[in-house]
Amino acid sequence: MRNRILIVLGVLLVVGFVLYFLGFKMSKADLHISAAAEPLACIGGQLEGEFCSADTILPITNAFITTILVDLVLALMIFVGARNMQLVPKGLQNLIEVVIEALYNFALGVDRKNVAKFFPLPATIFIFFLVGNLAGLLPGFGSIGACMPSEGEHGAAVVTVASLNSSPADAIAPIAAEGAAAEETLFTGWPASCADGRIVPWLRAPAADLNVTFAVAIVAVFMVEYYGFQALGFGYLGKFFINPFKEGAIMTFVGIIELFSEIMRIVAFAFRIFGNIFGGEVILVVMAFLFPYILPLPFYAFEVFVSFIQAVIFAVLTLVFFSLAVQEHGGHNDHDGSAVPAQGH
Amino acid sequence: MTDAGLRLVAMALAIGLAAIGPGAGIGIVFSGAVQAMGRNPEAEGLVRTYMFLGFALTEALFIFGLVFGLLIGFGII
Amino acid sequence: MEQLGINWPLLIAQIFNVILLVWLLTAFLYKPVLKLLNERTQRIQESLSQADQVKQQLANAKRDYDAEIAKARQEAAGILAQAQERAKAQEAEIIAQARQEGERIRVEAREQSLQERDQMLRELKNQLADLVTMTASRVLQAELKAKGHDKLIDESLAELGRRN
Repeated sequence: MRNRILIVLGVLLVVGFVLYFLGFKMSKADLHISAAAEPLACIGGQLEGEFCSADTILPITNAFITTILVDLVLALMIFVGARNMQLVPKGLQNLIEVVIEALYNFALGVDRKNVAKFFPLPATIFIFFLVGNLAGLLPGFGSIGACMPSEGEHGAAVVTVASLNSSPADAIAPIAAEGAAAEETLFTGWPASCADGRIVPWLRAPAADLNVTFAVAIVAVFMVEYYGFQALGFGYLGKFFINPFKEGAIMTFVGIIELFSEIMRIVAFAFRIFGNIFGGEVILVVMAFLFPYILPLPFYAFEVFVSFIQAVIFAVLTLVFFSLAVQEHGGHNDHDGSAVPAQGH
Repeated sequence: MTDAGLRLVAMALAIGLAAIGPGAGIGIVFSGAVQAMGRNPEAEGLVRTYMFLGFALTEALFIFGLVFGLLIGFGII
Repeated sequence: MEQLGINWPLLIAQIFNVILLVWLLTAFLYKPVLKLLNERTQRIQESLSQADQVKQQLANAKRDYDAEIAKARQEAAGILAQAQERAKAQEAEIIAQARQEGERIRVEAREQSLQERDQMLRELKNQLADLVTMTASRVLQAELKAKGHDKLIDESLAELGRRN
């Protein structure tokens, strides 16, 4: 069995090398990495190269489209799997039940008292980001898209797969001294390729767009504060504004830092998952650029793992912050202590 | 060195240097959590809660580095 | 901010999306599923307790049945023993009766045979006496008249009876 895997890998590697030296590879111009989600259309404005014009009401970016798609997938899943649920589960209902029960039991382990109240948001975050991240790893995300005319600012024509100097063209036009001119007449490129523009992908992982991650982070942190006020009333503010004459000036300072970190949580939430997912995509693209056969495979597997773990971390941190927010000030001291070195730098 | 080149170097340095400490820190956090869970499996839920809390607080540093790196790299500050 | 892609209208749209998604999943996924899970847990608990009850009942029934069986077996054994005893008694009785009968028959037969012999002897004696008398009277005719010799005949007959 193991031998067979090794043989298959070896054969693929050899084939890959042959294809690589025949010219089936990414060119440097294909390495178009954008930290922002690219707009495909602009409602109320027009597309100006990579960005929408200033009077745009709502840009339709590829991440936005994917978000809607993920919503639709989840709605479809609910419609198919949870529409009329039976006491004896069958098919998709089993999967749904397993996932939700596991999440619920986890939430039960973190905060048994308020689990019914806390459960929906972290579970939604987990499911949304899990589906979104895994969808972002599907082939076609980031590689299939609209062909936009390239901007002068972005240098020479960014070409996609079609920039391969494919072997038939080489064979037919060996005489052409300039090469490119002759080739273009004989081999203009692959079908449906984007020869003199830049691919703007139609789809992009939601977590690779800061708007999505910031939106979720803002909702999560808002709910943390809301639950804190709901549980402790205005006593919740006592966690941040501490009387320096009663508990000492240091604790007052710690309280201010807590307040600051409370706001920074939004940034941390948003950039944690953004950095991981976007970084993962960049790594995959760079590996595919270096050598597109076999080499991206381990990174791909790692990205599947990261997709899952980042969704878990986002959800669990939300849940943990919920349960910390509703605790009294007294039981909060050890958390303050650990917060000082982290936020003090 | 051009301004753009300096920016790239600054971005790389910011992200790279910011990753050192949290890298070690996250390792310590999880190793401590795993040890605690191994010694006291009953307290697993509590340990896990604080493990993720510590992870978040440690990771926050790297996120700062990442954010500032991106801000520098994209010429926002 | 534009380089990072942060766009306020888009951000607000995404916030709405998150809220919508939370509502959607809560209303149509978590609540029904958790309700169903609770229901199922209850149902299973009920079923288990019912199963326990049934098992208990079954155990009771089995115990009763076993007791019945044991009783019946005991009774049967008793009946059997009784029957055997009775049969033995009867057997003994029958044997005794048969023996008695046999004895009686033997005694009767003996008595009868004795009687018959006696009778035969008596008849024989009489005949013999007649025969002897006749013979003697024939031999001796006139001389030997019946009187005077009766005594001798009786003596010889007695001697004959003694010899027999």
